[in-house]
Amino acid sequence: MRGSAETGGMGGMSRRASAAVVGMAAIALLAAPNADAGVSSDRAGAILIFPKLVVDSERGLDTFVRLSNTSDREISLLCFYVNATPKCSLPSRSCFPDPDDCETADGTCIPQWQESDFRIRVTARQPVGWLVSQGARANCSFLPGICANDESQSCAVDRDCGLGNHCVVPPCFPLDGTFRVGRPFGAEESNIDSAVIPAPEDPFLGELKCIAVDEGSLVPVARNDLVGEVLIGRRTPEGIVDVAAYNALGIPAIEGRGNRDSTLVLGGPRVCSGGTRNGQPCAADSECTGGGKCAFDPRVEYEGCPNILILDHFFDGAVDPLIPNLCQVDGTCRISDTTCQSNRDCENRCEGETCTVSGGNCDTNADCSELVGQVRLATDLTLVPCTQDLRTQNPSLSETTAQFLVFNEFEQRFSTSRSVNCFKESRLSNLDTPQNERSIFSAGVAGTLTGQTRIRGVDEGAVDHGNTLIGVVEEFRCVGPGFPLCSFVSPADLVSSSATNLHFQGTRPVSDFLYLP
Amino acid sequence: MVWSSPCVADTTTERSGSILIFPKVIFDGSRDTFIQISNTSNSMVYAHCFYVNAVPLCTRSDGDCLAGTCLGECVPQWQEVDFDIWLTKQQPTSWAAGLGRVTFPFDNNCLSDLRHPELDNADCYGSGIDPGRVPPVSFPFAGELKCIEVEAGGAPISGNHLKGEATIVTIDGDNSKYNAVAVTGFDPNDGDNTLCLGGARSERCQSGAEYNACPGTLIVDHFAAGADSPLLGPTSEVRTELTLTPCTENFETQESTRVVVQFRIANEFEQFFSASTTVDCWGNFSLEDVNAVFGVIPLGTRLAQTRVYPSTASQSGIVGVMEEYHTIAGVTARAALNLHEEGERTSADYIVIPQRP
Repeated sequence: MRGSAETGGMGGMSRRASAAVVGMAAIALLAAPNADAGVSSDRAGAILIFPKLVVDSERGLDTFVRLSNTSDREISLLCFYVNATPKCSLPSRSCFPDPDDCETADGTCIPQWQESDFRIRVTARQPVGWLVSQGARANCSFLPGICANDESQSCAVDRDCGLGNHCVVPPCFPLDGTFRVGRPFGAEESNIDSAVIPAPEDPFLGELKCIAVDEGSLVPVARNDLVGEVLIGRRTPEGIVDVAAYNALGIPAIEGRGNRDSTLVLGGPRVCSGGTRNGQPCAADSECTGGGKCAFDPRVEYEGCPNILILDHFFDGAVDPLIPNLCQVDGTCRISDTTCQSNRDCENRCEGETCTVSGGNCDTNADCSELVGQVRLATDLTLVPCTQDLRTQNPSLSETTAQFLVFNEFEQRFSTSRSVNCFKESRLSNLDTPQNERSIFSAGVAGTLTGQTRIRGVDEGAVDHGNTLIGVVEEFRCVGPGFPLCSFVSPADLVSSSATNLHFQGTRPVSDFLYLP
Repeated sequence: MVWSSPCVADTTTERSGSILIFPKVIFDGSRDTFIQISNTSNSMVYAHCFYVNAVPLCTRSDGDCLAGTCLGECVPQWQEVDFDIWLTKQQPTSWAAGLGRVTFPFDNNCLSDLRHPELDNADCYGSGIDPGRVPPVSFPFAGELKCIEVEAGGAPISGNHLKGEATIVTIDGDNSKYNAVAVTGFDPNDGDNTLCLGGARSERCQSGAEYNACPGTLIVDHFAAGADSPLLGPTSEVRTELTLTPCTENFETQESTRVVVQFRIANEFEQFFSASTTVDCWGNFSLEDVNAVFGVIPLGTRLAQTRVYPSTASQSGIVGVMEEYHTIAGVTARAALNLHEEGERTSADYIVIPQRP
C-alpha cells in the first residue's frame, strides 16, 4: 500500500568503524567458517545483484533486465547502476569496447566506478523488465507502438494490427496509477513514480543492485520477495542474433533484524544463542552446549556472501568437440562457410597445393591449420565485491585480491591471483598474463578440455569491509584458427555465447557492508 | 534479541550436493549435450549415474516420434541406463551425451607448443583422468541425467561433493547452458537403495530425511509466448520451453511417476490466470502447448511470472529448467535459465536405485 511505512526496517551500524564492528571482527577471528552460504541465484532475496550489464547500441548489443515480486504485496526498490566503463585519459578516445582506440594514441584507460540510483515500485506478483540502454517509466499508455506483424505500421492497441496480431510498445511499467491500476477492488497498487534511468553512457559496462526498501522513507526492509534475470543479446544488421542469460543473485534479509540505518551488514560471525555458551563464537549447533543454537551475531542483517566461488569451465582455446565443420545440404561448410560436396571438403587439408578451407598454398596437410573451420571456446569472468560504498564512493573498501586455484582433469593444480577493484571483467586466460596462449587457463597449458577453478577473495582482516566476491561467467564460441578472442563486444568471430551463475561454497565469519547514500 | 539460524537450502543450483539432476539432456541429431561434473572435495568421490530416456517409441520401425514421422502409435518410454564414475580430489570431468567417454589413457592432451606452433592441438576431447566408462546415449535421446554420490562399494552417502553444468549445443553452433540441480544430503544416511528426500520418519524412511526436500513451488519469470524480444526488435518472437522432471523415481522397477502440475500465471497488470498439465516421467513442452493463456494476446503483456507446483494429489515434487528461444527472421538464439524455488515439500520424495550385487 502506498504511503504506509513498512515494519521490519533494516540497517546496520551508525558509524562505519564502530566499536561494534571491531567486536564482531574479534569474534570473527575465533569462529570457523560455516557450511551454509546465504546468497542465492535460485531463491528470492531482499537485495538483488546483477553483476554484469553491457550496452553497445552501435553494435546491436543490449541487456534486458527482468525482475519480479514473488509476494502478494507491493514492494519498492532502490536500485543502483554502477558504471564501470573504463575511461580514456584522452577526451576524444574511448577504452570500451576497444581499449586500442585509447592506447594506440598514447592514452591510458582509467577504471571508473560511478553510481546512479533510481527507484521503482513493483506490485503483487508483477514481472517487470527494461532495456538497460533505454530505461523505463510508468508511461505505457503514451508510448507509440509497432505492429509485431508489420514493422512499418504504428499502433496503440492490439486491434490496430488486425486479428491475431499484437501491438508492441517499448518496455515500460504498465500500471501508471491513472489509466491502469492493479487490484481494482483492493489496494489499487501501481507502478507510479517508477523511473528506470537509461544506462549513464553508451557503450556501458557495469552492474546493477536493487534493494527492497520502505516506500516512504527508503529504509531497507526485510522482504525476501525479489527474483531477477538478465538477458544479454545482440542483433546485427547482418542478421546475427545471440542471447545469453543468467539469474540475478539474491541476498536474503534476516527477519526482525536491523536498525533502519543505511549501512547494511551482510553475513558475519555466528555465536551461541542461549545455552551454557551464550554469546560465544560457534560454527554449529553442536558447539552450543546446554541447548543453545548457533546463529548469526545479532548485528548481522542479511545472509553472508560466499567464502569460495567455484567455476567449472572449458580451458580457453580448446576446440568444441560438438561443432564440427560439416558439409550442409546447401553446399557450404557449417562453420567456415566455404563450398563443399562432402564433409571431407570441410577439413582443412592440402589438395592440389591449396588448403581446402583456409585457401592458402600448401605442400602437405601440415601446412593447413587444422583449427581453421573449428569452433574454439573462451570464458569471461566478472567479479564484483560484496562490500561497496555507494555513499561516499570510496573504492578502497572494495579492493580485494582474488586467489584462483585451478585444477585440470589430471588433478594437476595451478594458481594465480588478481586484484579486483570494484568491478573486474576478464577473459580467464588474461587473468594471469596478457598473452593468452601462455596462461594457466589456456587449454594448451592446462592440457585438458575442462577445469575447475576455485576463487577466493583474500581476507584482509579489516573492520570496515569484508573481502568476499560474487560474479557471473560467460562462455563464448569463436570461429577461426587464432586464439579465441571474441566476446559480446568483439563479435567478429563470435558464433554464440551463454552465461551461467557461479557455484558457492561456505560463508565467512566476517561481515561485508553495503553503505547506502 | 532475535537470533537467526543458518539457512537451510532445498535443492540448489549453486552449491554442491549429493544428488545431481540434469533435467534436460538432448541428443537428437540437431543438438547434443555437453555434461560437466566436478568433485568439490579433497578426497576421492564416487557417483552412480542414470540416464533416463523419455523419447516416445514409435510402434512402427520406420517412424520417428520426435520428428513427427511415426505412422504407428507413439508409446511413452522411461528407459534408464546407469554407469559409475569416480573423481579424484577437486577433479573436473566432462563428456558429450552423444559421444560418451571411454577409458583410454592415451587421449590427445591439449597441447600448446610455443616453439612449434604447427604441433598445437586444441582438439582434446577425453584428455585427463577418465572418470570411468560413460556410455553414449541412444539416438534419439531426450531425457534427464541423475548422478548420486556413493561410497566405493556403491551405497549412497551424503557427501555433498558434486556439482555440474550442462551445455546444450546446436549443430549451427548456438548453445545454452544451465547449472545442474543439486540435492543436499544429510546424516544419518542409511545407505540403502531407497533415498528419502525430505519428509518425516516413516516405515519407508526409518531414519527420516536423508536428503533435502524438493521445492514446494518453482517460479518462472518468462516472456509471454509469441511476445517480442526487446533485444531483437518488435518483429521478433520468444518461445519458452519448460522441462520438468519428478523428484520421485524408481529405477529398480522402472515404474513411471506421474505428476499433475499446476501453473499460476501473473501478467504485468497483476491479473492472474491458471493452467495445468501432466508430467509423466519427464516433461518438455513449450508454454503455449500447455495452454493458450500463455500467449501474448490472451495474456496481454510481454512478461509473466508463473508459479509451478505439483497438485496436492500428486505423489512427487518436481524440478526443472527453462530454455528461451529468441527468433527473428528465421534465426534463433537460445538461452537456458535455472528456475527459482520457493518453500519445500512437506511430504517425502523417494528415489529407488537398483539393488547392489
